[in-house]
Amino acid sequence: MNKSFLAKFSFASLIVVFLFNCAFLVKANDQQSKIDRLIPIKRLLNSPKISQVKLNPQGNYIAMAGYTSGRFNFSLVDMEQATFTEVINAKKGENIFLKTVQWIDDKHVLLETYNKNNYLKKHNKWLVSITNQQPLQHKLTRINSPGYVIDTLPNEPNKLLYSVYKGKGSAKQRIYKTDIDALIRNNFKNQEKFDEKLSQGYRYKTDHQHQIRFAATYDEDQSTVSHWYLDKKNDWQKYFEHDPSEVEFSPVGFLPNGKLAVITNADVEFVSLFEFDVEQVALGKVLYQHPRYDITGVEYNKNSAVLKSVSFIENGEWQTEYFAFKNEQINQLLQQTFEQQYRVVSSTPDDKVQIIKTFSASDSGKYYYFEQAKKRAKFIGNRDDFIDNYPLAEIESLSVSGKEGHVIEALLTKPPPQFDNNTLLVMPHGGPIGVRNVKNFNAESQYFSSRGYSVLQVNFRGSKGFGKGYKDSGRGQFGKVIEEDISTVVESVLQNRHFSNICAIGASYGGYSSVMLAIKHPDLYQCVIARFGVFDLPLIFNDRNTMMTGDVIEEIEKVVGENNKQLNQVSPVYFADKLKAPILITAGVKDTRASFEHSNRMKLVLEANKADVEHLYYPHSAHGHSKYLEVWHELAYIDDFIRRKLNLPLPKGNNAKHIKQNELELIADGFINDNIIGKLPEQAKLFNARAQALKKSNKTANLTEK
Amino acid sequence: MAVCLTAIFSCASTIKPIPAAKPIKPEQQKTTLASQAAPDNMTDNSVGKTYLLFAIDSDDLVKEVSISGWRSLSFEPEYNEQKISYVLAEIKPGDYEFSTIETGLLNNHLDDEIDWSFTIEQGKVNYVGHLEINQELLGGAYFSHSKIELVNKSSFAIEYLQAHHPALFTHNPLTYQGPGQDDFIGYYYFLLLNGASHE
Repeated sequence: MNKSFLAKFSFASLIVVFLFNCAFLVKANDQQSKIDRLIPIKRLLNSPKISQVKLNPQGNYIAMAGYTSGRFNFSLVDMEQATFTEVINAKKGENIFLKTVQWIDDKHVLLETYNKNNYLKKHNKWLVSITNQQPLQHKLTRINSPGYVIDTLPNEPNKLLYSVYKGKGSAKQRIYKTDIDALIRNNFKNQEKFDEKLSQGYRYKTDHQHQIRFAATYDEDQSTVSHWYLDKKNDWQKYFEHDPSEVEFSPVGFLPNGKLAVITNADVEFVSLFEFDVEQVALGKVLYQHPRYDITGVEYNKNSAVLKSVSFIENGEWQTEYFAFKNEQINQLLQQTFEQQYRVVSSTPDDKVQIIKTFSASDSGKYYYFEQAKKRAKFIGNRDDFIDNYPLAEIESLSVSGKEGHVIEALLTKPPPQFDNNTLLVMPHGGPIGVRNVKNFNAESQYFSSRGYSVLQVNFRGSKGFGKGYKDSGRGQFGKVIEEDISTVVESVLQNRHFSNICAIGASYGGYSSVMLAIKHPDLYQCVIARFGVFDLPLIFNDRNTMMTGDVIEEIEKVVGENNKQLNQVSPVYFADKLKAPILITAGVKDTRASFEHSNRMKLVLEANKADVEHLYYPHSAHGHSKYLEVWHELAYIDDFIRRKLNLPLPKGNNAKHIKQNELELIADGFINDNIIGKLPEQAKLFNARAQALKKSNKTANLTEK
Repeated sequence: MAVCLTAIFSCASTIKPIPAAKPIKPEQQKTTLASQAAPDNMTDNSVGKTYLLFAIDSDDLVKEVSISGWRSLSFEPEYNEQKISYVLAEIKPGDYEFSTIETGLLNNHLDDEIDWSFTIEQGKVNYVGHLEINQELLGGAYFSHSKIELVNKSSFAIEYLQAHHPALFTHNPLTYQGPGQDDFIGYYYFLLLNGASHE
């Protein structure tokens, strides 16, 4: 990776062509009008038009899955003929969602779907077989063998390694080298059984010679994962044991020198790529370590047993560094062509053809079919169909010095200037340990930005990706250094720009943090939205009897700190009188992670204090929503809450009145629709009246304009 | 909801359940203790008596809940369309624990490794938790199982008593007596006694 050497070369951009006709291109006059158009919430927050694109080994077909108006569809695309063949198109209301897509060979694709409506058979597998190539014809078969593909065995036609579960638990797991017909028939009687199964083993993996070589076991009592490899004598050897909440470890694959490449932060600050000697059971030399960041992924070519690249996130953006000069050349070519972050999402075994997904803060993704030899990328489609039709927000990366001399990274999502309402939403992330914000497209942030708000997200101490010390320094720091870091960044942002209003909003730990920020800085925050939060920290240890076991309590203590009287001092329920800002509390009745009780306690004490508190309790939601209906309702209500409390006018934009009217109707519907909240007709009446009033004023305005 | 709470052994006396009074609308509820003595089903002689309060939270039919202790008890909820049913009954002080819960398909003996115990204290309304019962029906009783948990929802117990038994809430202190240590109810009383800081 000699960058100075590489810099001497200049690379031309790729040729980008379109796979299908140009119907998806935005017309010039639409481009003009889109500048002032707010994105409707139901378009922004919905299932993607393209969710997965996978290449077959030969690279001449792609399997493409996605959703049209929320309905699942799956297609095969012949890349040479540029023809598109629909395989599955779910009916309205079927509620089918994709889990995985995997080519088994050049003519068979295995799909795993999840059917929310089918109580008894939620998880389903399907095999799509290409029966004729020109014209492309296919056959769809349901696979009734529960399990997963360990290896597609590319060197053995019509064979694969499959792990089958018979009944509950891995004790009844069987592994077969099977042909596809046996998989379809769910009858493995004459298939080759793998006899060297590891007791209680799971996550079986093969080596570069497609032999089962790796497995893992989990010790429930110790909460540890053990990694095993199968030696030349067919004996399983344990080579590493770790507590995954403290130390990361995952095998990548054997290298040509016989050593195993592993990703770990055992004994080092940052998650790095190491050699591991399985014979000596010892970590070897460092293959890659970043001076500031944990690595997030490694690309490894299993066929050649060669490491291709490592990735990490720098200032919120996905970065990749390559081991081979040739790969770095291609990287530069792609970077110059797309000028966005990109990832290889699918590849032929020889890497000559790849599916590239480009993405940015304002673009949820574009898929390309990239042929290295031709230096050509064919545009397949947008992940979402709204991308080219509405103005979307950009994100600025910030880097601020913390009070302890540490660097705090943060992201500021800026609304399109024409929509800016000069209101800052400080949005702490959940967790708080081992979670972070990245500079990717975030539909919720985009919703708020579209309505005029700026959104600030801080990777405070405890966040993932900045090393073990940074992550550990957030443990037991609820209401302490975490909020100190957030406030340091807020202060820095306010030195450069004035905001008329500031609110705190967050979910889970972010809900807690939002309340604490407003309590600690009553003159700064004018409203709070606490979603699915925890507010009485001792309750986390006591809320249900099934969770009061030693190992669960130990895990909670690693995040929250010891359960003692001092926790009350950072539990907002016990000093709710200090909260001066109006607050909206939202919660899921079925939430067991941040138990629903937390939200109701907070509401109860605030009501006793006669505080300005509103609440939304979603009866079908747990720690978050499972349906877009609830997401739309909650977000629309939050926007309305902020506007009411801050006396903000309607959002800006040439369709703003129409959008607001729709959102008021959507909120009203949620109060009578039992699938959302229901049973609150008085609330519904209020919002419907406001929607009608807006509709009337809209008509009057139109008449005046004429 | 009407409940039938009876003693299993003949030597024990039948404990009469207390029906819920018509709820007081939230806007009529007061947020100070002194003003909470609204009329309800409780009589003057409820002062100083001892009560058990818990809730059954289930979409499924619950036929019988059994409690073991120095005096074993069982009760059979009547059919109820409400997902959550509160059970308030006068009870003798002492140590108890939930032991079995019979649903439509299964008789669930509660896991010994999990704490189902509670101590009933004299002269108080002893809230011991919400019994959350979720039954997974998978092709008949053999494959079905129930997930049963005792969940601390003290704030909802407070709201229930304030709405249905406000005098009891005022005169017989509500206390959390389920698994684990929790001071929230005591804090809430303190908040009401000391008035609201925003007033």
